[in-house]
Amino acid sequence: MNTLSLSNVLGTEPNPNRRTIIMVLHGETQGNIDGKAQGHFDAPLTDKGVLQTQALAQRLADTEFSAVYSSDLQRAVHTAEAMLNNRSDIQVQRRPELRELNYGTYENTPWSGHGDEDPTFFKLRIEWETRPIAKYPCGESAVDLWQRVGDFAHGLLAKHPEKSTILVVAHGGSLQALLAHFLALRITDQWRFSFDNTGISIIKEHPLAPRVWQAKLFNDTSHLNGFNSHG
Amino acid sequence: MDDPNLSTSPHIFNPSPRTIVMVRHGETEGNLDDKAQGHFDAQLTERGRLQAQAVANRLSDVKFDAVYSSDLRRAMDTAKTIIANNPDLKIQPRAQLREYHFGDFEDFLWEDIAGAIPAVYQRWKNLDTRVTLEFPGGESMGKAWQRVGDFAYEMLKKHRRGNETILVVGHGGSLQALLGQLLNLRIRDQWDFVFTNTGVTILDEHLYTPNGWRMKTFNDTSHLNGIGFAR
Repeated sequence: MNTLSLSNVLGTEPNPNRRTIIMVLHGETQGNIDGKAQGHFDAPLTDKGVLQTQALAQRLADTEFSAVYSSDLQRAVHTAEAMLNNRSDIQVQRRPELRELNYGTYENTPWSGHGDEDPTFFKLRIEWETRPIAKYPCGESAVDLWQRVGDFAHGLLAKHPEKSTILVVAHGGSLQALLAHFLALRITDQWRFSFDNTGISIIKEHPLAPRVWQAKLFNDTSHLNGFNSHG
Repeated sequence: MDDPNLSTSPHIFNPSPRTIVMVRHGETEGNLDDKAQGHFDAQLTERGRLQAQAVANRLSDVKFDAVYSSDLRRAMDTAKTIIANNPDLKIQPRAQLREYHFGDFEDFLWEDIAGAIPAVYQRWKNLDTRVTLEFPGGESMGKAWQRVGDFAYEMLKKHRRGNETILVVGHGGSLQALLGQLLNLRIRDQWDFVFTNTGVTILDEHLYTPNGWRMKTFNDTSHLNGIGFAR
């Protein structure tokens, strides 16, 4: 049982401090185009990636954020900052816990080559049941990432007990873990959710119950009409 | 973004992934009044018909290979609107895709149900006990999970050619059960996902994971700008 969801019982009174979390994947990078595992490799946005973040900013221009958190890697920070363009009252809080999985010696290498040298590792990684413990050489496993993202999620809820709308900008891997933590899914369920560049996902607390989170929207990219997202 | 495009890799298990587009029916009076409609055969409201037209426009570029719908009128009318310009397509009505059967309490306000059968209602509100609860004269959520599962099995068996795009029009409850089973979630997890009238949800198959259904979009309602929806 996931500790974020402390209760499965919905109350009878409306939950006045109902919180909303908006999750956004960073804009496009060259590594996304080339099909590379970027991990902690600190790639900038492409020109198209910058356009995507502008479309995203327009889309969410009317949304008031209580707080904005981002992975401290530049592709995420630049995406978050683009969204706060004209809002001087709010600052992006950079969190290393929100970084992508550390792919160790495989950082910035094509996905298609992962595991060619080590079939045992590849087999572990390719099966969703065993993937949590597949640890990249000199890098992380999905369990490692699950732990640090869980730490972030607990800290976030403790810091914002009041009604609030919180923006989190991060990476495919860290957003999958964050979503699964909040929805109290199993660690192996997270890979079922496929985020695209600047896709918008929204979770909200149940109207009758604190700490019971519901998915309201997943990976909405309707602001990208005309220029596609990689996924 | 973590999902590699392995089109050049020797590790492909599923070269012709299928896509399932799920759409919840348009608005009814019961949705506005917060009623348990179940098998009560309500009609779309005027706004419900506008919503159906809007989602039809939204999906006009999608080439469907098959269309399944709950045989209740609110779903059938939504499905008919979506494929109105495709004379070659025939809707396959399925009773398995109906909403939960609320028995003696069909078309009752939820607040009246809470007053009339408080013990049943308490079981409904606890997500861990909801699955076995049976409405008097109706069906349990477990039975609904089973019949939707039967449908999913039949559908996947029938559309094995690959690269097919299948439209399924259903209800909040039956679409939650379909989503939960395709993503291999626990029964209780299905209720984390809240479908809005005519919200568009897209699942596809992963290239290199057996049984690797993924969520690409959940409950996208961007076509409802200016039309609106209940709650």
